[in-house]
Amino acid sequence: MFDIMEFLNRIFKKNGNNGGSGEEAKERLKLVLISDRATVAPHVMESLKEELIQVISRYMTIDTSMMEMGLERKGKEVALAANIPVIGMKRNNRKESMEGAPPIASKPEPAKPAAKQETVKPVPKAEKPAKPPVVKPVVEEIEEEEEKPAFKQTVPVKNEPAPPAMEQDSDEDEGDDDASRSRKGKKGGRRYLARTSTSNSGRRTSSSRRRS
Amino acid sequence: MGKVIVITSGKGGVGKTTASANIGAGLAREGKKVVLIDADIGLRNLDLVMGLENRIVFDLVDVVEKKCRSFRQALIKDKRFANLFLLPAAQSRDKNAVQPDQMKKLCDTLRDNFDFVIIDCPAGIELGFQNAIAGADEAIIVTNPEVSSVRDADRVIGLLEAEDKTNPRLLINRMRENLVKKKQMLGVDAVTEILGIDIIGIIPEDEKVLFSSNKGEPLVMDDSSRAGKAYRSVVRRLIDPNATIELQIEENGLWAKLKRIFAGGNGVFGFKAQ
Repeated sequence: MFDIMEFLNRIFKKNGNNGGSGEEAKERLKLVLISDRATVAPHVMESLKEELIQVISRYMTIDTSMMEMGLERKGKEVALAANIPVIGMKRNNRKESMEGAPPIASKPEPAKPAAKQETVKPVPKAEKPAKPPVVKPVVEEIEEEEEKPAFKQTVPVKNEPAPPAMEQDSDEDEGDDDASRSRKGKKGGRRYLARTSTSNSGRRTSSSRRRS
Repeated sequence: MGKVIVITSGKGGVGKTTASANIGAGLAREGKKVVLIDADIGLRNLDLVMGLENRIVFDLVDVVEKKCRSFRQALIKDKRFANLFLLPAAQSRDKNAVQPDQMKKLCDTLRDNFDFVIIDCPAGIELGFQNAIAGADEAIIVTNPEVSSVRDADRVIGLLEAEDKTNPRLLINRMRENLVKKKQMLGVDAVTEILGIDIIGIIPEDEKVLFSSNKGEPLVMDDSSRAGKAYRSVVRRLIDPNATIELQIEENGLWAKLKRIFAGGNGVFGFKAQ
């Protein structure tokens, strides 16, 4: 039976020059090790997240409690996917960026508790970020999401085009309290983000205006 | 001052014990004073592979718990080499019987008395593994050219790094060159590219590995065995890191070299007793 399959494969050049199962093994291993290495060292992802927050906070006010980031795998590619809800834009961003700790811009909407923004503080490597103190019910968040512009970036880890946003959760940080908390709001955020990402050109620039 | 080398893999059944026995015997064959430690407490097997199973009186746990006068009392002298010793694992205990700091102390003692201390690590990444690596200066990661053992090897490399044991070296076991040629098996270059560590040797698949464990005689003594020859070249490299052996990773690419060797047909992977 296998011989027949092999014979057919050979006829149809399925196992041609660019690889039999050995090649496939190599590709699969490379992919699985990307997520293995990230999962095994959650502090790496955590410090990457913290640094991203710092950089983005120079330009925008973001909702770090709703932010989610992780490696997503679809088919033959692994991508670093980040969903970062934007609350507002900053005007004189460059100046502020020079002042060490990312500043917290005055919020356009007082609905969010101030403490939430504290998570933006630079956190030393390998240290857990402060927990967002308040997690609101999902229903409420979905309503809010409707108005909130979002910054969505998907960076392919390999040199390949970014895969489309996926619905399923990536499962690093399993068992982490912070992670499970942030997951509560995931559905709402995703739904919204998926929508914006289809037609997001121009939205980012107009976001602060829309808000006020 | 000797060197303490742990033979580990993460996954079970890839050939750690065989590698330990052959590397130990090979080093002894080269005149080095060697002690093999079976760190697989509860599942001891190195004694059986070495053919020394009938001589065990004391074991690793007895040494750690100081139930014998000194470690010397527990060491079993090999039948074939006067300078090869085995410290067997306890069979009736579990991994919790020993703690990493105790192993570290033991390794430090043995280091002063032997040229090489070879530790056969148990499968897994729990306490048994932590014990086995605790006192090691170097690590050899055994892997097969197959997805699950390579993945586990990567995990182990990460864990070793976390313990500041950098620079582990890779031993690829059970390589089947005909399948690599057909691109139906991960090649040496693919495995090293994925894992990103130096290679210390490649052991071809060889049924004589089974025959030798059946008999309890390390393979390195069999001059006609392909795997035995490959182990001897690993041993040469352990003694002299600069030893030129045929399967060194060169700048011009291993694959090209392998092809050349295949084309030349001078032995398996070009291994020649030098």
